[in-house]
Amino acid sequence: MLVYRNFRYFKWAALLVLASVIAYWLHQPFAGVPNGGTWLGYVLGTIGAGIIFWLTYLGIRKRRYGIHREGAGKDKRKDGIKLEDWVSAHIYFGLSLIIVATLHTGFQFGWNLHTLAYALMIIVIVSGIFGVYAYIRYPQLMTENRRGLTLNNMLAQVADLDKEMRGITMSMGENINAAVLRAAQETRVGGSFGRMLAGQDASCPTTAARVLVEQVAHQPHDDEAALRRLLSLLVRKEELLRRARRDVQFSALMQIWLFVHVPLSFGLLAALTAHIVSVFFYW
Amino acid sequence: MKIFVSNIVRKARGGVAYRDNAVDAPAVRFGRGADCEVHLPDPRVLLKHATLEARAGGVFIDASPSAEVTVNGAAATAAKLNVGDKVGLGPYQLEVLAPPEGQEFAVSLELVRPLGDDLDELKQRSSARIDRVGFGKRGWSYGLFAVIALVFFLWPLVTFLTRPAADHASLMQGDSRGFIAASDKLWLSGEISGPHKFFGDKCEGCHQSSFVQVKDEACISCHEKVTHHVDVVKFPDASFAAESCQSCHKEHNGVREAVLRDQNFCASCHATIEKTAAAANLLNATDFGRDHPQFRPTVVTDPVAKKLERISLDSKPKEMSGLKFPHDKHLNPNGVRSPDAAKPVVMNCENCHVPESGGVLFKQVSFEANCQSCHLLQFEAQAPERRMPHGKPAEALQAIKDAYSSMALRGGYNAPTAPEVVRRRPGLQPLTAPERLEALAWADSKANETIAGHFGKGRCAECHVISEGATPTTWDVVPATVAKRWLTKGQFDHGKHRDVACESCHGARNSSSAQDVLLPGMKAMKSVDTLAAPDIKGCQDCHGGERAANKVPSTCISCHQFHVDGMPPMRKGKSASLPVGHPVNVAFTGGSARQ
Repeated sequence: MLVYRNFRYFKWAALLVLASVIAYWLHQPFAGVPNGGTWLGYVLGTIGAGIIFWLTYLGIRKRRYGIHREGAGKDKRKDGIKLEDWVSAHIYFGLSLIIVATLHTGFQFGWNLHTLAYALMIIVIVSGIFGVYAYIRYPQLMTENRRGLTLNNMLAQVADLDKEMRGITMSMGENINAAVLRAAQETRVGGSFGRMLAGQDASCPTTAARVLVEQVAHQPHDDEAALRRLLSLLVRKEELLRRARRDVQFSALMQIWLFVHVPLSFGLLAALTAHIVSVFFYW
Repeated sequence: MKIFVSNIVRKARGGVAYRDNAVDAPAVRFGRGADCEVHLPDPRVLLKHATLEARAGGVFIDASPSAEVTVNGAAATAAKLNVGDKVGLGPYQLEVLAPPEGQEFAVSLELVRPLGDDLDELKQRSSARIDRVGFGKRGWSYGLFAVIALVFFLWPLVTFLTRPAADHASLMQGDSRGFIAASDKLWLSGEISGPHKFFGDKCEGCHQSSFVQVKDEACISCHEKVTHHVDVVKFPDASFAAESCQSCHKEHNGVREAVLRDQNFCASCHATIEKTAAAANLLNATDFGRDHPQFRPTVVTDPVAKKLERISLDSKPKEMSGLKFPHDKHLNPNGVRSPDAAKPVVMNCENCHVPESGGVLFKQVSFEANCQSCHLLQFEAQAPERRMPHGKPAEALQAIKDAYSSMALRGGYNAPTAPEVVRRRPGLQPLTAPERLEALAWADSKANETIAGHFGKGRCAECHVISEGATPTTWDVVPATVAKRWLTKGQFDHGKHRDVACESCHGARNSSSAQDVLLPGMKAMKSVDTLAAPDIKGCQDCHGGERAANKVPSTCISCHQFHVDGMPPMRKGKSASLPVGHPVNVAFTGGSARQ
């Protein structure tokens, strides 16, 4: 994504940024105040708005699978623009907006629609930066964490362990039986946004059961073999749950930024449109 | 006790199977434990959950402590059971049946709440998909889009469209609308300039039509008196007819005045003014620090004809005001003699030069206010109360004549050269006619002597230039003509420089002549001894051009006006001709120091 085609889109975006900075530096705005309403302001604003509308088109484009394959063989040019091109360009031109749009503002900010549009854009870009990080970092961590299992595999193993433990505790004391029953019936993986992103459960019933069984196992017991067996099953379940929760956390992190990126992009489209109309409405 | 237990097992397809067995024990225990008479293999059941026992009066069920036992829906710890009672034992339900033959008691037993599938339930509890929580991306996206479009687009738009057009009077009211009625403030692109803030939330005051740039009419409705830059009949190229007000006056750039200060704008013509206005008789200037011509003060060159000329400081202009005034003598550090004080009085600049209110310029120095207390205009030692009136030479001569006539007729004039009649003791018998004639003849001759001499002409000539007449007594005083401001094209604000000592700029202490043009010329803040001749460098010591790094950055309009006083209004009839004889030269009136 980042090194795609030997940084082709990075170079284009860098060129745009460099040109914008030099133009801003050379530009002597009339009346001494850099402003979106100078000729350079209009130019940077037009480029920035164009890039924003084009970048949001990625949301449509990425859903149209195989578009370049349709044209294959018939039209060489169509063949050239792959989704990877889009994503790579999306990243670099999105980053370039930080400079282009900031220069467009002339560093004039206020509590108004215009700065709202700017702020939304910055948040969208920052969330996108996190997205790039997440897509680079988390797939590897997920693979390491899963060790060949899928989340469903892990949950199935947890359910099997629950069943097995229930057989063992059937003849055990009420405390242990209740704790293991609760561990089976109330343990959960993920849940709300917060639980998914936390990647752990501080009040996990399985952990509580394991702690209880450990305590009991320290005292003399007439069925120590069963107790040890139960403990080892609980530890295995806990370990599976830990990995399952990490897995949920990673996938949540890989998606959570889109919950900022996409809705705020829509907000940005509204604000940007209102911004463009309003500045010419009150010209 | 013998009881009959009928286990009911419901099949998945709807069938029901019964597995009956009989139990015989003194007390029948129900529980998860293997030692219970009726085994209930479910983790939700206690090891020993409840006991059924026949006692006096019937069959009772006794719940173990903390066991979940209900009888006909109500929680119970011990209860007598009758036929038809339903007893809940955790997930099991026990129903008391009519005992068959040979049995004391009969129940049916059914697992009414079986355990669910572990995996299914775990999956149900767990939520691993972030997009299944909350509204999802789509909901948030459309929601945010709608909220922003409504609040930041439609609301201000509706506010504008439902509002009556603003006129000048409504703007002048300056009352605030409040946020709800002025929601188009959300569109404010930048803070409005300070002077416009009082009507700042009435956007439509300037933005009269949508999608049209602000028109000059909006500005002129208040600023109708703004004047042209030049005489547009002589210099039509500088009429700025193609520009609008907002070409230069950019609003919404913060609280500072919406005034164009760029010296480049001025320099675009004034770098080569001979090309655009050869007849203007102006010198080129682009930057005060680096490229500004020498000052050319407008000085009086002929006090009689009141002639003014603009002469470069390089040509050492002289102010021919008709006055003689040695600043150095008055500013003598040892003081000057005064008629009132025994010791010499030390004078300083402020004794005579008093700032006008506002502090830009100084009040005009006048004889009455500033000179008279020392310069008494006496002419006769024996009549010190007699003084020449100032400013009216003819009356002064008459005053001298009157004084001597009066003294001659009264007598008592004490001088050996005077005739007896003049020297006699006053108040004796009246004079005879020949005596009167003698006395008046003396008075006439004494007056003429005084007028032509040291205490008449000489007294005036101490400060004034005298124009001699045909006879020694017919001289006249040349009226003083002082340029109120030497630099008439720019404005210098003394008030802004009040913390700088006068002597830092003005070399009055070393000036022995009123002809000296005491414009700034010294090295700033240096001692009096290092004074240089008046020169623009005196200002440039502190002030540089617009982009000066280590001096006060001063742009053209720091000193010069763009809309020059005395020119016709700029926008009302900008192509109309100038009124004949409109004032241009502002030397005597001093123009207006302020815009």
